[in-house]
Amino acid sequence: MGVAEVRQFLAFTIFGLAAGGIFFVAASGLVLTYATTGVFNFAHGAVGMIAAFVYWQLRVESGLPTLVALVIVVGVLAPLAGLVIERFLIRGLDTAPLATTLVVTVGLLAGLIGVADQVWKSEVRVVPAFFGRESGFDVFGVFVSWQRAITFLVAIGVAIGLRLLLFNTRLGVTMRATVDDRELVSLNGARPAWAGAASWALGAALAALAGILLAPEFARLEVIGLTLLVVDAYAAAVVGRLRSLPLTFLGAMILGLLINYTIGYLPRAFPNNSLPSYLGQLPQAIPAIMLFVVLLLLPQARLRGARHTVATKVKVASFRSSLIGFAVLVTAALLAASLLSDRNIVRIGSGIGLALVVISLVPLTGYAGQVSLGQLAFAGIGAWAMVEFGDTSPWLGIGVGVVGAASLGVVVALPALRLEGLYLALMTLAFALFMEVQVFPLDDFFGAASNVVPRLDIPGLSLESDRTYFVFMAVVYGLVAVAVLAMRRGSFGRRLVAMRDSPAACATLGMSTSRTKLIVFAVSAAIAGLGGAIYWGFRGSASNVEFTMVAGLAILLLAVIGGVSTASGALVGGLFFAVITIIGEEAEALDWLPAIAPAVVGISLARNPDGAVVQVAERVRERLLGRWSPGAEEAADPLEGLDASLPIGVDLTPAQVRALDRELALEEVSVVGP
Amino acid sequence: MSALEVQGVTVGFGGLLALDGVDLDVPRGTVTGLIGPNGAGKTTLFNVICGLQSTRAGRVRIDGRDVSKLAPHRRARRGLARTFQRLETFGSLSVHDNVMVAWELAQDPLRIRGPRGKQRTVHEVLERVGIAHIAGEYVDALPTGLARLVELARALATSPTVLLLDEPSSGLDRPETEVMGDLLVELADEGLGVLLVEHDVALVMRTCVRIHVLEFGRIIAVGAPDEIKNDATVRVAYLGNERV
Repeated sequence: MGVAEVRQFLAFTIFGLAAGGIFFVAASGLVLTYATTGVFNFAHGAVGMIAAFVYWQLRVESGLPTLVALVIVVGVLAPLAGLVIERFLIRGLDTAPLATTLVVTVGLLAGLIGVADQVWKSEVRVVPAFFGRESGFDVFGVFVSWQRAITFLVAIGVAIGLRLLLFNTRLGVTMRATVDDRELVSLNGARPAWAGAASWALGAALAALAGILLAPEFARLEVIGLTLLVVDAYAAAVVGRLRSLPLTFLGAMILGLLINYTIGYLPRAFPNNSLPSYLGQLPQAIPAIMLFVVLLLLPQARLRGARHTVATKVKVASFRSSLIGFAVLVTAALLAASLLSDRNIVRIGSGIGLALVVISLVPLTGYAGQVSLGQLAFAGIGAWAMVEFGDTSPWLGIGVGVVGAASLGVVVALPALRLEGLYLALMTLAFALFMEVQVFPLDDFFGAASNVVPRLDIPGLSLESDRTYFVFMAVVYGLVAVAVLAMRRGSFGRRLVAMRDSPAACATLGMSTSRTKLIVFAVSAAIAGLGGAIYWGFRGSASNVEFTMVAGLAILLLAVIGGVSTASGALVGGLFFAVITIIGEEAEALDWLPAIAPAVVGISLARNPDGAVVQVAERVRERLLGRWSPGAEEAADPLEGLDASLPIGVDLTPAQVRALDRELALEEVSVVGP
Repeated sequence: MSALEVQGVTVGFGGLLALDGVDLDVPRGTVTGLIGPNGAGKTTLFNVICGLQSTRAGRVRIDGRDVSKLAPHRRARRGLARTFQRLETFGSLSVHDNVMVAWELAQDPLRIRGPRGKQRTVHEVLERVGIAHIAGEYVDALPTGLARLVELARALATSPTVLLLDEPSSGLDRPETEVMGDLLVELADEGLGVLLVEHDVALVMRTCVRIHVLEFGRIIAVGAPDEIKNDATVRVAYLGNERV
């Protein structure tokens, strides 16, 4: 090794450590909030992104001194935002089902991206490096900019500061205690809610700091690039199992070094020192790859016990009523096909097509309680299979799409299955990012151009016209819904619900929860693959930019909006999206609606696992049947209208007696699994 | 022959030993009691036996076969079933479906049975535990006592050889507890090994052939009900000066 090589190695190492510093600052905030409140903040990177834009606004637009802008953003605005988020979105979620907590922060992520896109419309914005890009010093002949040096020092400072906070202050001790036992903390006179609020304020400040440190690395500020910091952050944090800060520091440094050594050395393995096109985006995909590997190495998690929260009480439709629903749907589709304008056929048809992807979450999230953020990527596999094999035979295309999506689903889910549900969600997000940057742009997949997607053809029936295909999609949706409901009524469906309610009990009855999760994940991926193959046939073309990780977040939000535990909910979610798209296109003043509405509505419905469909259905049933409906009696709080001082001899309904029994046996009801 | 054998089980949480070299065996055809004050480690021991809690040392055998390295669901397939002190019912399923899930899991997947056969077997279990009349109710809406019976029915539906019961009588009234006691004795007579953790001392004394007393993670006494009643250590540690 010559002097030049040593210098180069040193340079890549310094770059890597500086990058690792940013990752650690971001990851430490993530760990702090997750450990204290039990809610994983998918919007962590988005908070940093917004902070970087606000910092740009103050520093560049308003010309404030660097230090002043920094203090305003990191010291004042970000903590305030953290407090607001905690107070209005997060508080009370610590005992909620995982799916609910994920929807809230995923909604926040999608919402913040939507807001940023609206406020800071495309224009070149540059955040200057501290003391300028050119100033710095030499270490053994390697130039180190002040920006990088400061970044690394800030990371060390944050590490030491957090250590002091957590071990040497009352607030820090409360935070650490809250991790272990919230109730015990409050019994001992501390306030867990306060610790939660503080952790979100501090977490947001750290996100902001990381965002601002990262911003000068971009030639121009961009929303998505900054938001993706969350992926780097959690890849680092998972090394510490989302709890340990020292291990997170280690993870962040490993990630920073890996990325920079890859950028520096990988091209040398190839002719002309340049990466072949299929590896061109590899550095961006490294966090996802690292996450995959780390999850494989993590030890098995303890099985969770039951969480006694509001479980969905959606009546499972009988075969008869699902057939009636099918008939109604097809009739409505036929009517719509003859009434709607060409333009609206395309718009509403897109809603139905999207619903075909959304319904893939019903077995996975609605029944089994697992969350996937990668369904759009599976749909992308379906669409790609149609592009690739559809010309030979569209049926082959669909087959490859469904089987391909399911097999890929198995590979993606495998490392996360032994762990808690959060890790599966993280893995699917990383998978979506991997597919977006590393797979879909390849020439063997969608490449850079738009691809023609052939439509299915059924002998004797032409699906060439949009109107016929519109009805065809409704029929397919109906068939999938009937099948999903049949699965729910059967043995496998019962198992899924049982597993959601208590994985520990399932295991002690002989169920392999890993296998069950694997199967339902594969089924869900297969449905998404089918949906992708059919929906993109309707669109007629597919390109790689349609299957981004961020676009995929909408799938989960739409599922929640319609009601993730009902087969009809997905359709409502898809149509909701179609309608807000129409409104956004028709009313120019509301063009922001499609970007923001799913997030806002999704967040507000997240706490109600039944979604819009069930709520409306309950209302209607109450109206129509009044008090004679047994369904309405079950749905309302049976204790409502009963005061604490019951007159003796009052007649209670059986439901009221049961509810009173439960209220009185408080210690049995308020239990939360370990 | 022992249906269940536990040898030298040690569990630590940080510096604290929750279980310290616990030995215990449950012969077939008996109800064996496990009593001790709160925090003695009874539920931890249950979790160790069914594989939900890892150990520092010790062995668990079911029917003489070492299952210490097996995952919880594999132990269940070897004939182990349990109920939980903190309820672990499937709240959004009906009583019938709670038991059905368990029954289906215990079936040999290669053996095909018609739906009617299924219903009858599940129904038999519900009848036996005395909850057939609430088969259609959602378990979330049940009072604790009935929910415990659902857990018992669910465990029985897997046709176990070893049954671990964690405070089955809490939430039941006197007559219901009597019925529960009779059922436990009946199950043991059919050849099951039952391990019973219970705070209702009368129920333990009435049903158990042998009783193990656990305190601070150690077995401090083993014996027949009469011996335990008169054991000085036990009186001090657990029963206090209360007359039993």
